[in-house]
Amino acid sequence: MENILIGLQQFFNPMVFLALMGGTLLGLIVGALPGLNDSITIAVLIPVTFGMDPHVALSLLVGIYCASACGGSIPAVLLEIPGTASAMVTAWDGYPMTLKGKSKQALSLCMTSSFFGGISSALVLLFFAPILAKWALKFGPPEYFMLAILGMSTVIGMAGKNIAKNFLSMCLGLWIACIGMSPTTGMARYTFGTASLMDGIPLIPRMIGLFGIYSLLKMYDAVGKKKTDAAIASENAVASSEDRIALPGLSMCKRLLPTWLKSSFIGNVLGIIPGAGMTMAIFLAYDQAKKSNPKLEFGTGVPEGVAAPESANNAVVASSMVPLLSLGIPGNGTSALFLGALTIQGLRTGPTLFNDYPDMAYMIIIGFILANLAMLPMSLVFCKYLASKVLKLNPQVLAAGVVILCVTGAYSYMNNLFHIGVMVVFGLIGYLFWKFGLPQAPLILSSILGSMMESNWVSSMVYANNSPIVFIQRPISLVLVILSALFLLWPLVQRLKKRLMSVPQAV
Amino acid sequence: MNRSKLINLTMPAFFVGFFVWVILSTMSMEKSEAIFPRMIGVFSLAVSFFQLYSDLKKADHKDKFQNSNVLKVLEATAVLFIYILLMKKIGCLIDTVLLSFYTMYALGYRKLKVAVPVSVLLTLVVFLVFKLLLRVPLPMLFFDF
Repeated sequence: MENILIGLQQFFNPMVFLALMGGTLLGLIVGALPGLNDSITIAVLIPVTFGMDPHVALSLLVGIYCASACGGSIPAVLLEIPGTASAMVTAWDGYPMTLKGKSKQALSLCMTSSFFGGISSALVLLFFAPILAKWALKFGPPEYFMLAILGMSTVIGMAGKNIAKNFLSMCLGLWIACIGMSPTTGMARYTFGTASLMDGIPLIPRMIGLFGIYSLLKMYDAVGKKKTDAAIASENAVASSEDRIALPGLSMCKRLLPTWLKSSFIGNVLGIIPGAGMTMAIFLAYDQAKKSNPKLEFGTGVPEGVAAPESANNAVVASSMVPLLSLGIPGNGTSALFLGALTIQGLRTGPTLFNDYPDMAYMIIIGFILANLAMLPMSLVFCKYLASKVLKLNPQVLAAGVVILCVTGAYSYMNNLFHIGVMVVFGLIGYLFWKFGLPQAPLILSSILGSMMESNWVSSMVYANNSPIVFIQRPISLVLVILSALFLLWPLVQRLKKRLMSVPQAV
Repeated sequence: MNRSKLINLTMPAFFVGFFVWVILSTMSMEKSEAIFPRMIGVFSLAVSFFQLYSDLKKADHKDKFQNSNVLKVLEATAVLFIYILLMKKIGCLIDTVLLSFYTMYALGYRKLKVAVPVSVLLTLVVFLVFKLLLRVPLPMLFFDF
């Protein structure tokens, strides 16, 4: 308790407090800009923070990290372009809500869900950091491999009627993950002599293509086409004035509470495991929400489809700091940058951090709580003014704005024109997938998890002398095997259940 | 075989060809680096054949490109590639103004008196945010400083 008060005390320094608030606002803004994210901003700011007071510097970075995941949902909801990779699943139900004239409600849900997830992970960081970090270290290559399989099986489990199409999409994604240097030999694979492909196909331009350019191509596809009743209805819906930015009502909170709790739990667990990542958390949370609400039609603009990924992605934020602060092991790329920032300030992370620098360790943790508390009103005000402006724009003018944001975002990721090309190609892939009824989710997830799968498969085989039994010999891995099998079999169980239910009726 | 069926069969047929190529390409790789893409290739090939067989057996086929302006989609894709090629020739600002104007015009916005200044304004706003505030080194060419 004493240490918590020491951490809180740091924020009575106005500079530290202002840095946290400034960082939160900056995080919201960079999150909302496609192509820019927390890692890029923190990487750019680390040299700037070198000369700052350590408390001020770290408060600024905490604010950015906390708010950027939340900011990423704004363009995902309004324009179907996720501002950050963590918001890609939010677009699936967030954008349909915009089409139904409920964009402000969707944004309000995003912000509230982010707050819920963020606060839960900050509390986990505050009370359970050392215990959980030790547990997370039990994950070896077989567990990581099975974790990737679990992630993919959830997406396959989300399949509607055609599982084969889901598998095809997944396999293409896995092949995309093979592009670049082989994790075993370091030799180039499928790079076609292009140096820019040596590091593989970068995620950000890929996502901008699959969401932003894809939605633009869909607009081009409809040029000259007679408007359908649904399209006319959605245009009229956008003009509706009942929609507003506000905290969800009590009934909505009650409805979303189970989704928030489950998704935050998933986010917290996966955030603590180093390398498991945000992507897996948002997909798993979405899948769980879908399974828990079988009557709702996900992908058509249901609040649960927005609440699940948003609370999961913000739950990952602070919990990814658990292994960093407790053991000195960064949980993801952004917390690795935090490690750099802490090192620059002369601090050593790990178990001794809490004893040697309690003011700093607890200031970071309290910073996450305060940043989340500040983020909620700040983001609601931010959305209130931004959303109303964006929605008043003519769709063609808005499309011009979207295309500029897409190309600039893809370029600014690594200052490489090649990435704009990658974005266009993936936009076209998204369009063809839509035309042929292939789902995008397995492609996205498997292309992200593919490299993790491959390297951990190789390590597991080396470790177990090429015996796949290793996956069922280790307890955590065995649990993951069982869970994967359950998720994979879920659609079959559902179908069987439906068939059994329909039998008495038929009789 | 009708047109709709033929179009629908192109997708699994493409995947069959593609994954055959993936498997063949692993022949020239070292064993350790070939194992993963080969596993993917073999599994995918089986799924692709299954999909091809299912689509062949299916009786009713919807034309997925009916009522689609595919030419416009291809034109827009080509324009985006031209945008990339022109970036280093005419600079980011002019190139982006042209792209945003094309986007509005191609999508049916015909008020030129609005479209031109809006294209310039949108480009300038994004330029201000990315180049001046966030220090992204956009290839400006004529307007660099």
